Amino acid sequence: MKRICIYGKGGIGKSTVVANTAAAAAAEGKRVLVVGCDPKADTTRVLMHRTIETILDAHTRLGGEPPVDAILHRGAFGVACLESGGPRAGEGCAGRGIALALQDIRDLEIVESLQPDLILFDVLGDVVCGGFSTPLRANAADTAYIVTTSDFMAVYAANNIAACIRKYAQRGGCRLGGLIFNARSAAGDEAFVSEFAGKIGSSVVGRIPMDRAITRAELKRMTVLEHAPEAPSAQSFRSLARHFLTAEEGVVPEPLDGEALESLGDRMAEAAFREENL
Amino acid sequence: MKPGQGCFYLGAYRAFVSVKDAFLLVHSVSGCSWGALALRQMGRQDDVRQAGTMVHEREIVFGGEGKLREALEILKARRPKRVFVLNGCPTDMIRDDIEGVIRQAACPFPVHWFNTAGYRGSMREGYIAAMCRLVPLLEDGGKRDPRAVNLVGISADDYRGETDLAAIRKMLEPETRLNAALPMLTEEGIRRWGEAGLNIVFRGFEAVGEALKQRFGTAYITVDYPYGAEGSAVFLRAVDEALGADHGETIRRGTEAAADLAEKVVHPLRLLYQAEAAVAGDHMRASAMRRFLQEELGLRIAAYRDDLDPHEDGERWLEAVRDSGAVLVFGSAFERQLEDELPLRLIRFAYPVMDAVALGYQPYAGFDGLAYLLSDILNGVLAYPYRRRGQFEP
Repeated sequence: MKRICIYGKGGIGKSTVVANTAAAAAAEGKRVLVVGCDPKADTTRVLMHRTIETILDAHTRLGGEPPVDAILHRGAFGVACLESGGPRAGEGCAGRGIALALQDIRDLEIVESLQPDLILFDVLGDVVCGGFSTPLRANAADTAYIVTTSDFMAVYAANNIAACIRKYAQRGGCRLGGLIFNARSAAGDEAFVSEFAGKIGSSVVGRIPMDRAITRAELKRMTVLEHAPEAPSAQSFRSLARHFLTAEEGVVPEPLDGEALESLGDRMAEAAFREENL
Repeated sequence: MKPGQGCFYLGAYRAFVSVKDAFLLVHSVSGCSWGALALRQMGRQDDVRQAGTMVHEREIVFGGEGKLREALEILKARRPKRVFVLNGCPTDMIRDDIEGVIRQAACPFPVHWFNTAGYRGSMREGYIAAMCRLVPLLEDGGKRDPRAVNLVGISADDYRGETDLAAIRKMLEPETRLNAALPMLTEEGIRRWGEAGLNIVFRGFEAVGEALKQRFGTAYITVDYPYGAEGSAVFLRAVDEALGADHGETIRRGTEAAADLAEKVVHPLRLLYQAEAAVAGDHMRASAMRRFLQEELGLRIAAYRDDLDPHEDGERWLEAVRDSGAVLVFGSAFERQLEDELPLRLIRFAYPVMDAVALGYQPYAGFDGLAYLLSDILNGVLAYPYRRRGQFEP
């Protein structure tokens, strides 16, 4: 069983990667469980073609631990879907909510009963929220992947995430599986992301091309694999799903120090300005 | 903050609960609400003005503003004179918009919020900060009365706090008038605070004296808690010097009465010379008690600690007591364990005291307090286990 966390800066495409790779793996006959660990509760929207009741909402509605069928739903290609849920923006504590949801998953022995080949955790983008590291801290996942574009702030966030993964790698078995390059940024230059990945001791293991099929599929609350199975991005998701299922153990990353990161940023800026002038 | 020091919330609670007729709403988990209540269970049980929103896991995850809103609605029906909303650590961590909820509730009575999250500091810091928070609520009152004084530092939660205040009032009057006390405020005291010509601030609460000076321009003096005859005389002389008053007759009568007392118990009093004692408590009381014991009774202080020292270490103090030959320990109910462990007697004088009552007029402070304090000290020595065995056992 592969237990994978997908990390990345907010809005970078984590949920897109999770939903579509889950669909791709399930389409190839694998048992897949997707756990949305974000209070926005939008991870499973395209897999379910609707929003589902979250674990925490079910908890509140029923006044206690919900039965499995109240929170576990089957989506596209038979992917099992769970959403932790959480508070509205600006209220409460998302981190505590995610921890509680993971506790419910453990107590209800959902993983034990589903026996999935692949579990994908879609983690919220806020690196300083306690919920951010919960899947790693709770030993629910053992490999983390970071989604990034070639924007400096996305790389900056990736470096922070690498530092967090390193921390948990040192006290547990968690490893960095690699970076996933999302080329949706107009000025996307994968070279910088590859360079960054190499410098932290990892590599780029997946590439999501800029593809309008992704936008259209999401607007229709569908995965790309349902909406446009022949689209270039669908092929990328299939390839990434295969990587998830077959990859060897990842690495303990060595995050860059501030100076090295700023130096990379300067060169990214130079390249961007050069491109603009051309 | 260290274990045993209490937290910022508990200190602030002590200040706000001292404001008579004000209602306290604790927006936190049940432990904060019940913990504070437990510490004052021997306070005025006919005067409980407190409720808690009892935040649970659900509120930690989804926010506790709804519960606070609901609590304020319930309070509206009870029409309190004013409400102090205190929060604990969890509701601060999840950043409930307490101020916003209070504003939206539009209560027909004043509602004051103070961020009392426990981790903001020690109990002492919370107590001082809450007294400073009360300063803007105080009013100018009518005409300035140059003979009137205010007193800063005694909480309603203090063991013998009310009765000590009564004894101090008795000492001060009629030459001067005790106008109001902080934090033991009444609504009238709030209205008339500014009338006083002098603020008497117990040592350690100078920050409150400064805040009052800035708000009203009133001078303040720093004094020690008036334990013993000499302690009371020094207290009154300081007031006289600042106000140009004359408490000479009160001092003369008080000193004479103290001498009479001493004569009555001269034999057991001699037992105290160079006997060892230990003191622990809040700085206001502990430092004054140490002086009284050393200078007026001739005891040796083998171990001392108070909350002014940021490196205060209760364990180190306990070790010092164990290594000493202390026959008396002056402290709070938390020092009770020493009585079980060692052949000594505990004199309760510092906060918190949950296991003793002092009904009626039984002060420790002032000239009147000397008789009660001395009685308890001597009774403690007379009941000292070693002495009892020596006298009555082979």
